[in-house]
Amino acid sequence: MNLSPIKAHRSFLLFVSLFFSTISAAQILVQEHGTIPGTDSSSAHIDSNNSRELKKAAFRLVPSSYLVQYAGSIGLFSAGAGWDYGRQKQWSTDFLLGYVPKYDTDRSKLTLTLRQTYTPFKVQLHEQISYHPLRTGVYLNTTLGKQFWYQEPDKYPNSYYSFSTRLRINIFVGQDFSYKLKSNSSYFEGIKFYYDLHTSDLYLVSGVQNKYLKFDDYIGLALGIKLQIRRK
Amino acid sequence: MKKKCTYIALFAVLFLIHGCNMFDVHPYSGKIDGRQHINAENIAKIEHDYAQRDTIRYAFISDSQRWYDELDDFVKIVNKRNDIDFIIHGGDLSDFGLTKEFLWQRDILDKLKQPYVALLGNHDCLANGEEIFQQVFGSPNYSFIAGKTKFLCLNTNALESDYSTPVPDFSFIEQERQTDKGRFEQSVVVMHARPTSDQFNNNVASVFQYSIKQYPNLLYCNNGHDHTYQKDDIFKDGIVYYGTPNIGKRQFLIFTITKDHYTHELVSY
Repeated sequence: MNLSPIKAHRSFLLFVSLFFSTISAAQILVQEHGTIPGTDSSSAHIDSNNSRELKKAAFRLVPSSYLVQYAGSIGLFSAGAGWDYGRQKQWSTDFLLGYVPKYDTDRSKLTLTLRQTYTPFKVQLHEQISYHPLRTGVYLNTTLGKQFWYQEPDKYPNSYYSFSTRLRINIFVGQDFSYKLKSNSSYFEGIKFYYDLHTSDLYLVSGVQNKYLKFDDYIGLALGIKLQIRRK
Repeated sequence: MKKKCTYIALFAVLFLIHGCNMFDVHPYSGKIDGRQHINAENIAKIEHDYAQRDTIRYAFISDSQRWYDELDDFVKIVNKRNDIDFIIHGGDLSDFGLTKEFLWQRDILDKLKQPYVALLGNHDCLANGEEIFQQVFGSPNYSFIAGKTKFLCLNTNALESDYSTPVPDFSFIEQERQTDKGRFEQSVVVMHARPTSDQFNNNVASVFQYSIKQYPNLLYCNNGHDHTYQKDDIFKDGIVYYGTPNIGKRQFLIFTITKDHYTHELVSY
């Protein structure tokens, strides 16, 4: 019984280290091929084609941002990487690792989050500052630990509890401000501050069925900072 | 300089919003704000205030998970009456085991003018719910004496447990029979899931019945879980199990206990 959290932590660490080693490998690849002069044009055609494709693929793997977040039903603090894409960079997929202190329970918890954000509008307030009046999307959060299950264990009669304690589906709306750094060569090219109002499936179903529960009972507030990595 | 200002402004904003309670760390965070260990506190009150009473009257409610409006109305109704000595909640305060659910329910029940105690329901055991229940309300097995009647409150959610935790806990039942022997003349057993229900360890149902019948003058049993009014002599031995409807039905039971006698009433609101 005592072994299982250790096991969970170990597999989790393995997963995280694999994740970051892939990213750093990809990053090295991009740097190497990106800085070798003349690979695109000159003599060795087959070679350059290969490297270009490799570069492209690796480029996609490298996250375009790192982020930290406070609260949001995924941990007191969470950190992770994000990939921005789309013509206006209006789409973004984030992966976050969250930490929940133990508070009044026996142990602290780790959570994993996959978030899809859509940011359709952009208002340029200043040369360096832009404002996105709407960011919205969905995030899935899973809590690590034996106490939480995706599906109820076999001991229960069929569909005894018709929900998962492990997987939360959250929706959110928020806004953000982006600040673009002046430097043209710094590792990070900008910083983004965002806030989200969010709720999960279980909070929502509790909130909408009762007048007693107020908006701030079942809607949460999250704050985050996203560091945008300079892309070549 | 400009950057510094932004940072200062940011911290100020952070500090301000921290005041409001809208940051949710995690649905199962176990972050408990406010009152804790409610059962123990209220039991002390019940045992003290009603020690000399010959007649006691209590309301028995159960299964208030996700029925906040109905529970809130129940509190208003009971607070208008002045003949109820205390309230017993038969368990299932939470539906999903979320930390906030326990606190929302506690905040409603805390508006009761009379003391209340809560039992552990099967839904309260989900995820880390049992830890939260223990912190906010108290131990899953407990007892108290009101007037001359001992109330034995038992965790009977065997399906939520495994072999490592005895449910029902026979050693607790036996030990409680001996405790404070001189202070009570009759007994009532309260539980969330009654024998024969899907949660109960039905392999020991008759053993359970035998062990609680060893108590001095066992009057009857109370249970929740089945979301409907029940009045059944399950073991055909004269001990009636009274089940109270879920609070969502806007119904509850009132029991009046005198010496060697009791009456009950189903109240709708």
